[in-house]
Amino acid sequence: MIRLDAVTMTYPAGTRSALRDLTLRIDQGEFVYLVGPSGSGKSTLLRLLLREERATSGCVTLDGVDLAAIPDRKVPLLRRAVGCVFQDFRLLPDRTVAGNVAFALDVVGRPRHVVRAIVPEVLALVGLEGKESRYPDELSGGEQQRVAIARAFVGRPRVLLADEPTGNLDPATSEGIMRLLDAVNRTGTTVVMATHNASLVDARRRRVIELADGRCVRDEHGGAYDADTEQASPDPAAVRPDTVASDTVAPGTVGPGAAGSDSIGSDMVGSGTVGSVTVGSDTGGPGAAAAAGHAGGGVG
Amino acid sequence: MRIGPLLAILGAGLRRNLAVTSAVVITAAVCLGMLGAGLLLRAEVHTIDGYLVDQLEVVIDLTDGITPAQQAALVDDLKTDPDVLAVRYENKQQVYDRFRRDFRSSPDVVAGVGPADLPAALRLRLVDPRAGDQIVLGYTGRDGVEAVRDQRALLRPLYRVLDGFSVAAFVLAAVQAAASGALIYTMIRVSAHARRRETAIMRLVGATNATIRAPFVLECALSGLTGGIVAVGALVGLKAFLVDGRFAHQSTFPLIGWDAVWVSGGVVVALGALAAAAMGTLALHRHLRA
Repeated sequence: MIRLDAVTMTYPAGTRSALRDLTLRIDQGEFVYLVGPSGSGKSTLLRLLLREERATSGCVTLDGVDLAAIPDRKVPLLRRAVGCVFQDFRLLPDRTVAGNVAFALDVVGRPRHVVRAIVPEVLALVGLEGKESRYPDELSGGEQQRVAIARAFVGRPRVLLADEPTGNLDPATSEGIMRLLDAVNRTGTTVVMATHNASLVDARRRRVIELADGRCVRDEHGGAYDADTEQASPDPAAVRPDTVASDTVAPGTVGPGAAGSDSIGSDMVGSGTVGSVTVGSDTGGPGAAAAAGHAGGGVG
Repeated sequence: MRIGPLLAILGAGLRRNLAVTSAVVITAAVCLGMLGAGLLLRAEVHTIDGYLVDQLEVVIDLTDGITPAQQAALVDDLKTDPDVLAVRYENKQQVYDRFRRDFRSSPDVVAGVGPADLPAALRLRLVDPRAGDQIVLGYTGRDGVEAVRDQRALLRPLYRVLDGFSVAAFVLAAVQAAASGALIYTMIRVSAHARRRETAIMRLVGATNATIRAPFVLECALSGLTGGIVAVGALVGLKAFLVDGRFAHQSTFPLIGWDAVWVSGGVVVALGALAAAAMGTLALHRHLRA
């Protein structure tokens, strides 16, 4: 899926390399935490995966395609396969919630009937049903991040990159965002999340890749934020998606807010329908209680 | 991108940059109006030239001492000249009669001149009336020839004046074009900065460069187009109130028709939209990351 072979990245004006001889592999459907101190190279790695930058040396491949070899005119096609979420949400303030999500489909030329069908379903999926007409400044931070995730996910990317998505959120809201990212991951979408939030990483023992000074100093499945933290048993929710097929509800079979389910239907873009939606809202919207009960976490 | 979302982005951009866009429209209108006026002056020169060209002749004044053999040889040469369509001889009396007719409003001038004072002449109609210079060069200095005059040369001062006005209009248009270009450049810079979040998101979600740039280029093209339409309005006003109004009763020369206005207008509108779009594209390379 994602491979980095001996990747070194030095910015033109930089005196030292942001990444040094980095080699790693991330399989389809994995949920990976990128941890490490500021300046360790996490964001640079995400920028390489988005082809915002090209590696100084080494090779970055996605599905076997060398990203550095992609001609500039084809980079947009790559980015349609890679969703992105940021700490500061990056919503358009003059567009409504629905408008922000539809924007991602409009600008890549999706037909209007597809946009009209998908956007409400994705908003229901992220727990923002009924808030389609709100503007970003009328939403809480957690809700804004849900909009950002909906926008990143509405095109059904194969990879979702999240650069400190909970950095601006309180712990309870962060937990809600994590459940949403879990649900996205269970559709088969690979999630790579850069974070400084130790409690979130420790609560869900997933694969942890720790960077320091541009090098990979730890690559641990079911790991904790800190290497010396006692190993705990992995969160059941952290099991790879290909092993939880029975949890995944078929597209269009369950409506928004279905109790007990914590999954997102597949083939949303292709079919124009979305399956079950039970990820909690930050304001206790549809499905919040069910999601909270299932994940055992608080909902902000 | 579909046309609906594209127009929505375009509309939002225009609303956001209303002041700068208005400035671009005004300068573009002045620029294109001057350009259109220059084109109309050129059209007037062609109109006058086209009207008079069939009435103008090349005149060969003959010396009083020309022999019949010299005159016959000269006429033979002219009749075999491929540039000459027809040759007509006028004796001194006929030249005098024409002179009296041409200067009938100046009796003092006519009173001091008699038939003997004027030379007999050969009047030539040319295949290409604009090729009189070749005849003048070819026959000046021949035996029995006193002078060769191209009547079209008499209009050159008028052409020079009209050309001067049109060149002045083009220079003013060029100055305004520079101002318009600078304003469009500024408009793109301001617009790209104001919409940097929007364009960053478009890039992240996989919009092509053409899609990202389209609203900016359309905004410029629309400004140029609007300026062009305003300029065409001014040209139509010029034609209706000046040419067809104030100068309608003069009969010395024919004046430009509506066809010239529409041709100039079409050029002005098309050039306004295309040049503005081109300038916008140029500015985008500087201010919008690909």
